[in-house]
Amino acid sequence: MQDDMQDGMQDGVPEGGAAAAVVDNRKLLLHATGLHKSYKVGGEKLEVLRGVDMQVREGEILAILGKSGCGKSTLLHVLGWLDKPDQGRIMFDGVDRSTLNAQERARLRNQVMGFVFQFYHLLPELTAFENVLMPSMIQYGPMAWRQEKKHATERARALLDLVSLTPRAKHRPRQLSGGERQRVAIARALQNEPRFLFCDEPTGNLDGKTAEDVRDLLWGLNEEQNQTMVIVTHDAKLASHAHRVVHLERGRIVEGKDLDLVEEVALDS
Amino acid sequence: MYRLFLALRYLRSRLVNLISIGGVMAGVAVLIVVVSIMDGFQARVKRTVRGSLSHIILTPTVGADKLPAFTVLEQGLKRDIGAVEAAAPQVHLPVFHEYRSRKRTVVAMDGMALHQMLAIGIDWQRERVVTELESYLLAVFDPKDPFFHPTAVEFEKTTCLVSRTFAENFGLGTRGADGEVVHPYGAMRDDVTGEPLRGDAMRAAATSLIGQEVRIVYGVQKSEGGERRFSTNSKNLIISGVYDAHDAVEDNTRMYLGIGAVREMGDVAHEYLQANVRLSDYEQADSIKKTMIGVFGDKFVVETWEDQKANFLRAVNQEKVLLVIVLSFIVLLGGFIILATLTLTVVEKTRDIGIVAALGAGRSGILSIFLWNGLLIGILGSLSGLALGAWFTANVDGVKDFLKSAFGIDIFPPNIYHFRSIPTVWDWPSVLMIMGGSVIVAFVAGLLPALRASRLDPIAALRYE
Repeated sequence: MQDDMQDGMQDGVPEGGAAAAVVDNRKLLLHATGLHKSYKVGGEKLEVLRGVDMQVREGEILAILGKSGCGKSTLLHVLGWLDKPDQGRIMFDGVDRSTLNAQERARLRNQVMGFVFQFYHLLPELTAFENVLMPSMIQYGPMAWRQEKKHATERARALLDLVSLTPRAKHRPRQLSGGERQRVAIARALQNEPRFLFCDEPTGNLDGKTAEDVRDLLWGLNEEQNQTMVIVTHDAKLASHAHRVVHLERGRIVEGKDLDLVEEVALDS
Repeated sequence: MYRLFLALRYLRSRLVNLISIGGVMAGVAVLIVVVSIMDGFQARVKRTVRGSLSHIILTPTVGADKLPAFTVLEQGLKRDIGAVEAAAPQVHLPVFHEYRSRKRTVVAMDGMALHQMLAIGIDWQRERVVTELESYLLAVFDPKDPFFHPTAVEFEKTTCLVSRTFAENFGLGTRGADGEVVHPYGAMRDDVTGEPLRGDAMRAAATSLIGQEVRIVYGVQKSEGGERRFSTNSKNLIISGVYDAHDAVEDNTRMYLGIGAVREMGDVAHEYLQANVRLSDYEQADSIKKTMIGVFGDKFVVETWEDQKANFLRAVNQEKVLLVIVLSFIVLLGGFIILATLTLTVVEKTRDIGIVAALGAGRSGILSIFLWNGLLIGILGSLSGLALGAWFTANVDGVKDFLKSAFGIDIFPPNIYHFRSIPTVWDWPSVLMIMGGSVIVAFVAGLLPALRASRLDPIAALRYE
């Protein structure tokens, strides 16, 4: 069924869109149309997203650039099915969000999406290794876990090795530096081999050198494993390395700006 | 898998959970101890009361002239009623024990006071088969005939069996033959501390009482020329034996004499005023009682020993029910502690809940984490309560003695509770019911915080700092 929807969706990509004109014919993984989202703040309605359209293809790194408070994180949460749009449609790998119930959305989020947050969001009671293992523990029930445990723990070890944190496997988050915590968070996001990585200001809380290390790690994943990513950032330097950069301005997406403009936005923010 | 894993981690990492576990533990332990003691109390009461009462008691309702001879009744019982093993006659006579008292309120003359008792006249050879009296004997002059004493024979006096409790309470053996005080608190108590003697020392003291005298005063009713007259008499009885029926209240007010002696003292026309019957199977007592009423109902009131002590047994059972109801509130309190600590945990772990939701945990998964948390507190609290309750139940007398020696608090005075030691019975079904109930309370207490956690918006939770 998923394949049918996927095929249908490939046919359904709007002709003449800016992305369609630029990006090659790689598979369309994420397709959002007409996304609206508003909050009530102090009794007043605050419109954060005002009809966002967006497409992301497999293996692509898309950077969403915008000023602080412009709704970048909200957009990422909506795209990653953590939050519900007021209006609009999100298709992920051929599956329409609105056709799934909360439990099914949670399952898909666990199995095909990975999240990296600005403030790492590691579970403080767990070691680095256990944090990385957590998505697999959520994926499998007690019976399946017996069979999958070995494979899952091996993968968690390999990922900790990938982010060069094997010696810190038994350390708890409070015993790690900011850069180390973010690398653990990246390893955790990759544990279930997601098709899509959502990164919310992944270097926003790190110093220059550490931020570069994390960026190299993410870009390395894309080059070696063809990892698809959406990165929300106000860091123009980070965005400049993305395959494609879009701007979020007044709740709408503005595509195709050159890097000079990117720098401008970054300076403004 | 992650549900139990995270629940265990939250349990381990938060000290406040220990308070919850402690609350459940205290409730379970207290309930287990109380139920064990009350069950033990009930069982001991039944055994003790029945021990000196026999299974079924027949009390005559007719005059002495219409009363069948005891041997006739005995034969009739064995012949007509199944399951009757033996029967024994008794005659009861209210008497007063005269003793020396320092108090001046109930005095007769010369500082002598009176203590009301029941002189129970028995036929030893029959009584020993029907009740447990023989097994209660601590010291006798002649085991074959506990009422034999050479001094009594020589001076034609009456002998009696007195209880250990009675001897302790009234300081029997305080004075020697020449009237000098040899034991300030009586022979059955320690001369220095005044505490009751135990073990071999107690048996030796009981033996030393044999041959000593106790004085009783009693009334005699006589009918002379159609008029009832009442006169008082007194007698010095020789102690021929000491027994302990382990009932500190009843033992204090009973003494056993030969049935002939009591009939003579009280001028009792009836050959017997009570017939005690022992059955081969007490379980059938109620149906046998009905048969007996059919056969002997015109001349006797037929009761089981439980009928005679119905109010007392009901009171004991009522006390147990009341205590369990009152003490269950401790478990409920434990439930409220769990509710409070888990609510606090949910607030503190709001961000974690958002993270776990972002990683793909559904609402039911998050609900389960906190349900497991409550359940684990309940299980651990119940198990530790079981261990504490079992230890306390096994060492309850040690705890009682410790409290008395260290703080002077007597939590189980024998004159109130009938027994010297605290009786306990370990009843697994009751224990498991207490533990199960506590786990259910813990589970229910965890439900509200768990529901609250599962309804959190993951985005709001992720933003929570």
